Amino acid sequence: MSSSAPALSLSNVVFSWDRHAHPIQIPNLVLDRGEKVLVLGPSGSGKSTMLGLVYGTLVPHSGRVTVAGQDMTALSARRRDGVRAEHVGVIFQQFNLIPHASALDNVLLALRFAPQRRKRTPDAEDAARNMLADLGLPETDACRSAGQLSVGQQQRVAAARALIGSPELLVADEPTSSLDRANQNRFMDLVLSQAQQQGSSILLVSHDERLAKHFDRVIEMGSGQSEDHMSC
Amino acid sequence: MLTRLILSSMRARALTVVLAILTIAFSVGLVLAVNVVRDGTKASFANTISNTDLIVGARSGSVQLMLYTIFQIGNPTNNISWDSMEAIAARPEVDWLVPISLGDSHGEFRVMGTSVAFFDRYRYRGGQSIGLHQGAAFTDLYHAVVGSDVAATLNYELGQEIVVSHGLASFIDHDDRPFEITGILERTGTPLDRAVLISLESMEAIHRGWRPGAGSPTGPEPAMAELQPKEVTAALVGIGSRLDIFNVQRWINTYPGEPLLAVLPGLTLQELWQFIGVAEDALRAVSLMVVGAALLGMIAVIFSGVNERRREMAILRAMGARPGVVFGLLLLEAMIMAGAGCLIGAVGTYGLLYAARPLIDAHFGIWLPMQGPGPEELKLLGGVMAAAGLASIFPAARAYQLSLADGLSIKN
Ligand SMILES: Nc1ncnc2c1ncn2[C@@H]1O[C@H](COP(=O)(O)OP(=O)(O)OP(=O)(O)O)[C@@H](O)[C@H]1O
Ligand SMILES: [Mg+2]
Repeated sequence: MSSSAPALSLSNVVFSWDRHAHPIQIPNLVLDRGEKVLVLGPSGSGKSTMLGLVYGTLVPHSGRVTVAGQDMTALSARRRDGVRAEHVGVIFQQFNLIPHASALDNVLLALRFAPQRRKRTPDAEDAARNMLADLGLPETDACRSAGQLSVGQQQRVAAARALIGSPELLVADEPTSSLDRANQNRFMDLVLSQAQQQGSSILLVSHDERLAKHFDRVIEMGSGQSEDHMSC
Repeated sequence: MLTRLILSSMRARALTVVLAILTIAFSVGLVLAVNVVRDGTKASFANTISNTDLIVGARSGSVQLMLYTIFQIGNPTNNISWDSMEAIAARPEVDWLVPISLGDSHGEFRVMGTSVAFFDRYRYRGGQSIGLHQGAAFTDLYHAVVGSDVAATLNYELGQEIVVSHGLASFIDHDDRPFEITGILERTGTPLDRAVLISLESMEAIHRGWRPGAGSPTGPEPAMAELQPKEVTAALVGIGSRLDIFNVQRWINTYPGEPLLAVLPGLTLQELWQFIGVAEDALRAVSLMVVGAALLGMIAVIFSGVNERRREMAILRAMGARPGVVFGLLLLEAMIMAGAGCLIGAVGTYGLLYAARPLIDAHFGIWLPMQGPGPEELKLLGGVMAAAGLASIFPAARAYQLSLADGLSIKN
């Protein structure tokens, strides 16, 4: 059912954190299979919020979000967790690695509750090691606990976790913000080539327009700040 | 991998986890120790006297009779006559009879007049006979054998002379007739440890013709045969066949000569234990409260863990873990902690008590039974595990209550 559906589609989505805040509106956004889209916007413009709506930790007030053909807005929280695990690889802005678990286990965790992704990855441990190596994490660091790794290394682990098992959609929230210019480019190339290899679509948000050259399409988000409420 | 996650998570919080485990271990150990000591006390209490089939005395309450003849507590209401003794001893069913005469004291200890047969017939702890630690039983007038507590408290040695006081807690001494200590009993853990044993004849001798203040009449010592007492306080009776015990008991209880009472020691001990059982319940209540406190401590540890680990729980959910899985992880963690606590507590306590068993016997005369955890103990351990499981529901529920979006956007 989902093989022909777009990786992601948002239509008429409206969300606001509270009644007074300026709502985030996304009239129409569709990502075809394998498409790479960059969303640009200044800090506070609602980029992370939008991604939350995409991978289903937030629910829009109105509108529809479908991921790999599944209507996220019609599902229970638990089913949304399932769809996300199965079809979306997420690189969070705060990485969200389990600090006491090894880098390898953090990557493998993405397969643990996603049977289809696991099926696509027959030799999970080798696949995870290779993925980490491909993304530039030294072999010796794969068994160290994530909390002991440098920020750049953690970023690679988070990317490997998002990519393993070839999810239909890769979602990344400012994945390069803590890297220097040279590493930024190298990291983007690694992630993009991996995603391309396994046919994952990419939705990446950033405030950095220099990333635009890597993408098929760029979407600008307006400033989320509303001018009418300046007082607390 | 999930087990590995639990273990690494626990390792990351090693200090609090170890503290929680120790709290559980300590409280479980405490309850188990209380149970072992209680069983031991009960057993040695029940073992105070054995192989005696009937205790006979003047008619009063059965518990009262038991208390003053065996436990040296309270006073006899009446004596019984020597004729009655002889009548009972003459019954064909009666195998042996050891008379006991009470009423005098030595310091804080009671003096018991009895026959030499007492050393042979009095048994405790399933038929164990009382042994002499030093010296020998009395063979003559004015010989005394003292219990181990008496010797230890008053620093008595063989050959030392002691004076018996008339009545209990009295200042009137039979100081004209000092006794020589010929024997010191081994520790038995029974009230015998606190007794001074003399022969019935000696008992009779110090009282014959004796008036307070005037002392005993002077002149030659009477011959042993003349010192047959006219009255004694009680008697221990052995019956040849178990089947005859109730017959003899009925016969004694309806003895026409004087009002007598014969009681079965085992039954009366049980009756007596019921009074003491109240203290037993109190002990148990206290130890259960300790376990309760330990469980609360464990809940607190798990709960504080949840707040520390909001992000971890959110990550698991983000990766598709169902609520059951998150709950299962917390449950398993609680089980590991409670299990480790129970194990350490049980092994530690039983090991320690086992090692200390001879010491406890020597000091308190309580031989701990130590037959491992019985049904009550297993129920307790099971209860601790179950409570730990229940306790983990709260943190698990809380982990799911916290919104996923919040859990994932905790800033570090
Ligand atoms: N948990 C929250 N509760 C209430 N308001 C929130 C919450 N998270 C974000 N917001 C608000 O939503 C708006 C958009 O925030 P968001 O985090 O999506 O911005 P962003 O574009 O990702 O910014 P940045 O580039 O700094 O990450 C902000 O005004 C912020 O105050
Ligand atoms: Mg953001």
